[in-house]
Amino acid sequence: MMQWALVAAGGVAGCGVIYGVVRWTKQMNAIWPDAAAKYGLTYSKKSESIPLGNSRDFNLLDGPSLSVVSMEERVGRTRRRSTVITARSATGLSPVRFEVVTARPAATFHLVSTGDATFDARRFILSEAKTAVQAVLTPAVRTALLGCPHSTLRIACDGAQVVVSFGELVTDAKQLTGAIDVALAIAKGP
Amino acid sequence: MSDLAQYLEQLGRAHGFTKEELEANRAGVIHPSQLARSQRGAVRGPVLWSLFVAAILLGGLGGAYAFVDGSSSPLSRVDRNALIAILGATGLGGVLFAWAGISSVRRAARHREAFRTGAVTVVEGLVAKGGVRGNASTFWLDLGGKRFFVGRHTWQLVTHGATYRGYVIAGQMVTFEPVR
Repeated sequence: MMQWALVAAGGVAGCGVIYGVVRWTKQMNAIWPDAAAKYGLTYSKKSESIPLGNSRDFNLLDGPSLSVVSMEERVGRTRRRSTVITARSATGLSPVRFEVVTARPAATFHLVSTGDATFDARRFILSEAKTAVQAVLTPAVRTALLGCPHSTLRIACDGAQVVVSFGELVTDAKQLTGAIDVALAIAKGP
Repeated sequence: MSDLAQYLEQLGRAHGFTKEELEANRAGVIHPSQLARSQRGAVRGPVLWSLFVAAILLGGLGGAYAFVDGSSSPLSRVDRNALIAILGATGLGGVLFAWAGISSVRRAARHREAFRTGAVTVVEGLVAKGGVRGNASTFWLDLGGKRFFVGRHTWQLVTHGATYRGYVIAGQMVTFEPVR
């Protein structure tokens, strides 16, 4: 009797693991198509091989005012990942570049205070153009940044577009949509 | 201490330069301590490689002597072949490591010479941080169209997208500072 109970418990645990893996795989596979549907973009995927058995894989989202290029390059045992989100802006943003990090930086020379104590306690902005960054960080942009889970986000604006990039692999929908929301909020302007 | 002075001190500590060295490089000259640091290893490198090659030869020849000493006299055909293999491997190892050592020593000498005769060149622009994390993490800064490999701590102190000025001697960014 005891043996049957153990077999049943093992079976349930095994099924649970299989269910979890299948669910996680489904969620991972749905991240890009779901984001495409949410923002009205076209999703495509491509892969190219590079010499010595290495490869470069891309996930691409494209639309009239927004595009996302996510790349994972495998060379030997090293992995290089980057995701670049480009949003077209009609508001004519002043050129500015800044980094947003979740951990307090070791050097505070380029640290920009937004004046929003709640935000400044949770996100740290690094830039040499403090006034221009403060103009970009509207309440809507700050809210979007707080909703974005990346440990480091790099943002560059020029007159016509906003480029948001990060080097982590997208393993959660929020990582992708959070960064897209940041790009859109900045592109919308003050 | 101003914010800039404090930041420069942090950068100097991480990257290995002093305020005096930075000031000398700003003036377009190499600071004596930078020159002294670059000339280190002129004796140590050749000595270490020579000792290494000597150890290989000593080990191989000593092993061959011990092998002959412990074998019956005259040597059998099998023992003679084994002796030839030991001596061949020792000779080959000695030549290969001597060649690697000479290349390494000559490369280091060329670098020291370039540093001694070189001038301070300035690179300036927006810095782009890059890196590969993993078993062998590598961090670099792209500045003024050139790539400079730096330590993790230096890399962490630099702000991506900010303007920096780097002072380069013999292809090595020895000091740098933020422009704004």
